[in-house]
Parts: sequence; structure tokens; C-alpha cells
Amino acid sequence: MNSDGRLVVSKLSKIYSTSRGNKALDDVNMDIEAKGIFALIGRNGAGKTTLVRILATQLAPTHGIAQIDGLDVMKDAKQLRKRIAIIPQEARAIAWMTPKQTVLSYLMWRGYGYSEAKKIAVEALARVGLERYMDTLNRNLSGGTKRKVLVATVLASEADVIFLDEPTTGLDPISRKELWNYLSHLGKERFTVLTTHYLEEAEQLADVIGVLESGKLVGLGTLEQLRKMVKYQYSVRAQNASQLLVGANGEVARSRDGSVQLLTTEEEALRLSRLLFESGSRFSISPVGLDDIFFHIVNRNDKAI
Amino acid sequence: MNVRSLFNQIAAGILVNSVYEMRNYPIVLLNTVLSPLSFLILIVFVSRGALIQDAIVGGFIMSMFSNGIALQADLSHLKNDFKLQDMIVSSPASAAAYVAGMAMSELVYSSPALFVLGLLAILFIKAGLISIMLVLGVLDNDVSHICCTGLHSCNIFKRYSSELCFLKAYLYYFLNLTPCLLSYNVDT
Repeated sequence: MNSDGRLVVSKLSKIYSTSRGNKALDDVNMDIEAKGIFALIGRNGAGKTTLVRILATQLAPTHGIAQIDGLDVMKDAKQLRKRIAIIPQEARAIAWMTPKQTVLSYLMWRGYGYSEAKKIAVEALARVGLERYMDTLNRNLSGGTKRKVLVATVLASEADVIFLDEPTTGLDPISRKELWNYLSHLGKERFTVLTTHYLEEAEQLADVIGVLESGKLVGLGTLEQLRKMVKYQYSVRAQNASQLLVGANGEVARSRDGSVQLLTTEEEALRLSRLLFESGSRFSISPVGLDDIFFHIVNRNDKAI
Repeated sequence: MNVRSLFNQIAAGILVNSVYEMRNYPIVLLNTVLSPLSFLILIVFVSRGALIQDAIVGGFIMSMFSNGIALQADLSHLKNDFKLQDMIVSSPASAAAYVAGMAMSELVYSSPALFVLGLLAILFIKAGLISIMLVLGVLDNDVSHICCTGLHSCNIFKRYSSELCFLKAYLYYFLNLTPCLLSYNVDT
């Protein structure tokens, strides 16, 4: 199998406890270009972190193989480790160090000399806008800034494959969007594998999205390709017009507090817009987003189980 | 991996786990000296100065043993609370270089205590060959204890680390059992 320039996963499974039959990953297969940002989405316990840890050579799979740019995560781990860097889930900048010291020491672990590491660390911190905080103790920085320090750490490295396991979890919306800018730049330079709970994040940043559910890869492709997995292409949301939408042609996705969301066809969306306009209801029509796709795929998978 | 890279990786461990903390929080310099010195002062007071040599050696043992224990806590803290170990695993750094750096960082961390105790040893212990061996034995035993604690996580050492530690302990006790007059000169 030629997997140069690609991320190839074949029949990958991980069982943590055979006695309980707990399959964290169950026969996962994928073959994508190792370029841009690849986002893995899924519920808690879907297997996102397990897959990232296997790809980052931290965990051995129970069955199957995984290769990045032709390098096997098990057989070629030593070579692969020269080319990867990771920010693990819940990673924190070490409290008693400054951002400069954090980046510098990580580079030294990657084999850089002190002077060279210091120079690169300063440049990397400047790239994420942390010039002012370079010599401030990490413990005195805000949550968003601490996360930027970690991003600067992998950004400073020579690694061309970056793994980010839920990098924006727990951040406020403004800090999250700031971080998206840096991640977006990072994705242009290097292949970035990102796991996230925030579907908006995957929608904004990812070139390719993988949907994991109970250890199975239930969806893979660009946003457009995933949209095609959903029968309906438009989402109509309306307030106080539940009777109109419930009776229409389509699938009611969510209904709460008098607000109804209907997934429907383009023609039906157009027809409903006229009716809703005439009835004076507040409504919106948009193409189905990743939220809708995710709920559709996961619900379909739940029903299949 | 070339020697320079290995040196840099070990140096990174020393910087993270001791030098930066000592530089950013100088109070820890005092903290590392407090435990062995309090032990030393107690023994000296109780023995009215007669056991100062034993107290100094005891101070060495206490200081180094504390560091062995501290290494376990530090490795666990950095792994679980900061996820540093996960970042290092997915990097070119080898497990042995990571642990060696961490083990050496504990020695650097205890350097203020070792300096003070060393000074006291020069002043109060008339060193003979055996006494120097005794002190080196203590240091060697404790350094190996620190290293074995850490190297236990490396596959290659996993099998033998406990045995190594066990043998080192006997080396120390053997030296400790040498007659007092051979160990160091006690003014009576």
C-alpha cells in the first residue's frame, strides 16, 4: 500500500479491557490526504482521543494498522516521532515556568541547542501575539493565553504533523475564536489533526471531517460530502409556527420552547418561507450545517444499534 | 541520535524540573536545605555535639532520599497534571533521556542542601578514604535509587531496576557497618 502524503488507517481497533469487551475503536478505516486540517468530531467516549493517541505513537492498537506519510505508527515510531508534535487533551502550561521557558525547553527535548531554541521560542511566541507575556509566569496568565503558549510550543517545532486534542475546550468564545485564527494558519503550513466537541469549530477550520460514534467512523469527508449524507439540504427554523412546520414535508430535527427546526428540501423550504412570511412568524432558512449533519448521522447510527 | 541532541534533551529535563523553578521561585532554595538541616541540628543538640559527623551523613541521606521520593511525585505531577510526558513521548526524545534529565534535576534541586552539608562535612569530618567512600556510597546509592525509580518506566531497565536498587542498598549498608574508626576520625 502506497501511503506517501496520506493518512491511512486500516481495520484499526483498540480494546482497553477484553473482559468488559470495551471497544474504544472498532474497525476504523480511512484514507485521506495528509494536508490541511482534519477534524475528528464525536460525543464523549466516541474514541477521538484513542485514535489520536494511536496516531501520535502513544498507544498500541489491538488490531489494524495506521500510517502517516508511509510511516507505520508502530514499526516506524522512532522516525515518525521526529515529524509529529501533540498537545494532549487537558494539557496545561507548567505553572512555574514562563511561556519562553516552556517553548524553549520543549524545543530542547526535540534536540535543539539552547541558543537556537531560545531564538525560535521568541519568534513562535511573537507569532501567536505573546510578546508581552514571554517572561510572565504561566500561572499568572489567563486560560486562553496558556492555551496559546501550548500552540506556540508545537508551532515552534519542526514537526509537520500536529495533533491537537480538544485544544479549545473550556475557553470563552472570544479566546476560542482567537485560537481558531492561529489554528487556521497552522493548518495551512502543516497537516493538523484536531479533535473537538465544538461542531462550529470543525465547520470553520476543517478541510476534512471524520465523525466517530461508539468507536466507529460513521462519516468522513468534506463538509459538502457530509451534507450529501443527509437526505434534506435545508434547515428551516421558526418561532411559534410549530403546526406549519410539523405538517410540512421533511424531518423535524429539534423542537423546544416553541421553536421548531425542520430539515427539508429546497423547494419545500421556499414554499414554507412564503407561508411563514405571510403568517408573520420569525424564521430563518439556511443550508444544513455540521450540527444538523452530526445529529442526523449519530441518530441514524443509534437507531441502527 | 547524536550526543549533542541527547545532551540537550537531558538539559531540558534539568531546566524544567529544577533550574526554572529555582530561578522563578528562589524560596525553594531555602526549602531544600530546611529538612536535612533541622534533622542535623536536632541530632547535634541531643548528642551535645558528639554526633555531628553522623548528623551530617544523616543529612546527606535524608536530602538524597527525599529527592528519590520527590522524583516519583514530580514524574507523576508532570505526567498527570500537565500531560508533559505525553508531549515528550510524541517527540524525538527517548524515554531514557527524559528520565535521566528528571533524575539529574533532582540532584540540581538538592544542590543547596548538598553544598551546605558538604561545607559542614569539610569543617567537621576529617575525611579518610573510607569516609569518602561512605559519602560517595550514600550519594551513589541515592542517585541510583532516583534513576531506578525513573528508569522503571523504560522497558529496557524495567526488568532489572528493582534488582539494581536492591544491590545498591546492600552496598550502602555494608559501608555503613564499617567500624567507626575506619570510617572517620571521631575526636574523643
